[in-house]
Amino acid sequence: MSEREVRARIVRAWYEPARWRFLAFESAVVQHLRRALASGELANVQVESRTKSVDSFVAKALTADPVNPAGFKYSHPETEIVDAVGARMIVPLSTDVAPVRDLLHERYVVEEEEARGAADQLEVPGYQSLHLLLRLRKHERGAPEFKDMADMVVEVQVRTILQHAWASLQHDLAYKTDRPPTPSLKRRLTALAGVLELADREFIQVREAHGDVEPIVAVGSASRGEKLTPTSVRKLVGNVVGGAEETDQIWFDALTSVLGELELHNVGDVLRSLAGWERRAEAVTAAVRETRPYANAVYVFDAMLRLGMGEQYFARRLEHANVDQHPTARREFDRERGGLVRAVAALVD
Amino acid sequence: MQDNDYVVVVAAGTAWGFYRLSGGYVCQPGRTFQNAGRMAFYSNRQVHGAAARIERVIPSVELSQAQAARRTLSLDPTERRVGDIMTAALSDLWSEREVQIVLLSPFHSEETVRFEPVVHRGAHAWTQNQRYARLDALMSARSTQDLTAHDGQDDEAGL
Repeated sequence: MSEREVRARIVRAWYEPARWRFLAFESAVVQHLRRALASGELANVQVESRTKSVDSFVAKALTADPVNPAGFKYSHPETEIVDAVGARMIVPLSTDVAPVRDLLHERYVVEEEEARGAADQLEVPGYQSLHLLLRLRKHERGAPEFKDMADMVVEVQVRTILQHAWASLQHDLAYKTDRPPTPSLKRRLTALAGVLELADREFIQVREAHGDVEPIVAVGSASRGEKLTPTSVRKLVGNVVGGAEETDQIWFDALTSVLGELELHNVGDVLRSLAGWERRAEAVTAAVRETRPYANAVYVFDAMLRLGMGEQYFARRLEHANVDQHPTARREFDRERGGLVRAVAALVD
Repeated sequence: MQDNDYVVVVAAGTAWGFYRLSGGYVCQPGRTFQNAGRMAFYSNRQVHGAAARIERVIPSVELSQAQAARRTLSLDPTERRVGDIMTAALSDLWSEREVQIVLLSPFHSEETVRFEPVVHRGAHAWTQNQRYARLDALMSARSTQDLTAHDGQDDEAGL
């Protein structure tokens, strides 16, 4: 039996029984990805997924080492083949890729990222896709649906509709026909990639000329009319206070609920409610962290809302709160707010 | 009923610094302190010079970012304090788990009785868990030898 046949048998014996775990992970992680997209108002991003078949996994494990063709590219395929579970996110146009990328960076640990076929890397057009290798963030690994699977990774490709059409055609021609495409056909495929790239740019310009200057999917930075979601709130807090990237996403979920209680509906409402305190963000941060060095960006932002809205903050939240003793809560609110006003004043004076 | 003159002295490690920062004490769920109305801290061979009033004990709560966020942003001042303590614990690299949280009068509060630290000169730690002492004894003691025997041996039952 040849070395390839021996390896194929060993890998097949490992992957065949293990594949159920990858299938379970695929199901759980795709739901997780869809929920993440929905919470970031990116629910119209199309999501596909697959778990490698046994034959496909074995074939990949037999890939030759490019440096030493007699050997194998993956010494330990069970750990080195990281795309056993893959997901693909398809967006309308190239300007819609960045918001998806930003969201994935916010919600997951990005182990690897590669922009294949990026415009600044290629002299000739061809395959284009953003590839990310994702792992769950620590606080989500305990979720029941990820039991015994919390450390697994998923490879996510993000590409446009046109990029996907080209990649699918190119893949079918390369791998699903009796013979590889001729040089002439390859040239025509390359030319087609260039045409589709031009088409993408033209679609974007048509959309902008129509007046729809924001991408169909969410923009990168918050605009005043933008609705409040955990994603837009995170961007807003990052813009006003900074340090949002160091704060767990769950805090932004909680702050979004608070903003709802405060009857603030969009970014503009929130900025108006800060009543100028956002211009003293540095002093407010320093005053808060003087007594609470562990206070994160959300805490500071909430403090700024309390400063800016004053009595209105308390009154609006009281309608939603289950506060046992209102007078005590009101006294504490006033005391804390007053102390912060004095502390900030001492820092800026 | 809590006795404000009865002090549980806990073996502190990092807890003394944590109390100074957050005004709280975090330990395993369900830990009891007899009827002590105050808490003090022992580490580095001394009982540190503050007997904080035990304001509230939350015997079992999930220490997590979700709970910390919800409580810290609450309008309820007690919930807010609990959230504060949770945030401090998580930033202190406590792992997410069930814990007990004790709300204490802050170090600079009038409710916290301050005294000269009580040094310990014995060969072994004065407590590795918790012991009890009368407040007036702590205030007048020059060393742990002055804290009489009936003020309490290590209390395993509290753990």
